[in-house]
Amino acid sequence: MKKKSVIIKFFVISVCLLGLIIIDLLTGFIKIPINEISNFIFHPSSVSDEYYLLLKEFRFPRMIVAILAGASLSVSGLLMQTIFRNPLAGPYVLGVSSGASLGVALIVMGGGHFAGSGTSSNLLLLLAAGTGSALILAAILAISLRVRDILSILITGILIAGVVNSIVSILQYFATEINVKSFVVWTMGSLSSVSSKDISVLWPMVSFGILLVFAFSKKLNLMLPGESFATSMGVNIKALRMLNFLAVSILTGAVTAYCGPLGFIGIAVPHVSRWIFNTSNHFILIPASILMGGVFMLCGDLLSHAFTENGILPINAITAILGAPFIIWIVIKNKKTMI
Amino acid sequence: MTECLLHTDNLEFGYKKPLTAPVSLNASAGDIICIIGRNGCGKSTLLNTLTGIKPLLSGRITLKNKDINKISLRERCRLISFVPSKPEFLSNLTVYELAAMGRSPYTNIFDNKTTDDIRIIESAIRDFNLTDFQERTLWSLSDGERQRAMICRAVIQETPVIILDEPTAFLDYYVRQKLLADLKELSDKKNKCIIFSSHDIEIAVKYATKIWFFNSHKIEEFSVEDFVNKGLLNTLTKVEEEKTQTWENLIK
Repeated sequence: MKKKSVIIKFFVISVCLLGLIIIDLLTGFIKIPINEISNFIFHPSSVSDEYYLLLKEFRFPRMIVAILAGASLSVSGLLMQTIFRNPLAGPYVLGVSSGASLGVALIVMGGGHFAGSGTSSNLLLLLAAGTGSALILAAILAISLRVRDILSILITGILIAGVVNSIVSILQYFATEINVKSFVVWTMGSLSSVSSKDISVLWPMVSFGILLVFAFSKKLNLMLPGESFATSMGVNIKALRMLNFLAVSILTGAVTAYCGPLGFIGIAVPHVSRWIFNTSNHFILIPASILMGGVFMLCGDLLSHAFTENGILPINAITAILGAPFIIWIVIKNKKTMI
Repeated sequence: MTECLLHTDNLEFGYKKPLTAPVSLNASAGDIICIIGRNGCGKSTLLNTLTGIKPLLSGRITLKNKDINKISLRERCRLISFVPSKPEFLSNLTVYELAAMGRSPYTNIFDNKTTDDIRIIESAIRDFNLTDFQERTLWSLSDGERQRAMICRAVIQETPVIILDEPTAFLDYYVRQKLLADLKELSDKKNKCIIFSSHDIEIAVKYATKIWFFNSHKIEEFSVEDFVNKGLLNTLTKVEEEKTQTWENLIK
């Protein structure tokens, strides 16, 4: 009977996701009639040039990026919560976003002459963010090889993030006003700065990360009763941690490089998924987090468009406003079952 | 002649420094071995080392004549299972899900279970009277029920050796007796080798077939009769008496 209700829940969530996808494609500064969407998919030649361009270059990429970002961050958050056995762990807890911020800050504020606007500088930002998060990750991996205690790794991660953030503040202090502004805009996050060309880089990374996670979800389940239990069940804890950090950095690093740091989604969605399915089983929670991450991010995207006529509110603020109340509610409601 | 399942050959264990002199011990099918010793003498460390959770310092541990460090983790989990004294962390896992984890050394990476696996899980859940609990989450159970679920999981793992770290630590008198009776039945019926640590001498004497006794940095093996007849119990209790005397002096 339990299996049946799980399938029903997945079905309902998928329908919600599909509905949000369609609404997301239709709404925005220019409203698109609903039949144009099906035309776009099945008979592209019959769609007017204006709509075709809008859908192909803006709406579809933005929608796909929202889903990829939501899925990646949620799955990363779930992994981190399981590995650290901490309900407040999230994709950014080890400082991946701080590393990316430092990379971007160095480019934007350190070397002002780079910060033109064009595809080359976009690529440069991407590389900087990617390198920044990769370096932080390498440091964490090196530490996790030496340190056995998971709490020490968590504390080290948070402290490294703190140091990196301080360096960013110093850079901000010395930077010019314009550069600070462009950096702050990056930290606010954006789903629409990703072109369809960028997506062809983003989606293979995200799918690779998620496939990697699927491959070790059995071991993640064995981690639930505790680390020594897992070891006695044949889990190589250090190897699992390394793989896990690798997957998280690929997923979070890629999304952060393209969209900026997007807070709270990664913490909230795993809790919501746990609450909906009332389970800790990763074989259910991972697909659930993928779908729910998409749902959350699309809601965020819709909200960021809903209040302004021809602009977009910073998505990072929206995800925080959307995510934080869920976390508060779930943490207060279920004291015992947070992981 | 019973088959020797677990054998240690001049084993040294501990954290950096060995806790005892090198030990050579044997455990066979059908044995119920109780490890007795004072707090901090290294009972848990020994158990963790035997299970392979903790690396050994020197010497050798063999399971069915195979070196524990030379077999794969998966094979090791098919030979030896471990029941911690208390789960380190409680989650939303249900009793059934925990029990089903016992099959993980036999399933593929997606944890697909065959009909055989499911039959084994279900019959063990019935044997342990956990049918009514199987959809309950672990945190909602009492310590005794949870311990039963953990042991049920170890049985489902179908290992010839089961190691339990202080299985009776958090249980009341009756649940303790019941648990040990269950373990004894398991050892008799399925010819399993059960190794556990305990501070409960009564239980050790009543249910164990052998005793591994930690005394002054040595581990010695005794049959229960020898253990009682040689008055070794006194070495444990004597310290307590001395202590009470010093306390009495302090009060005076």
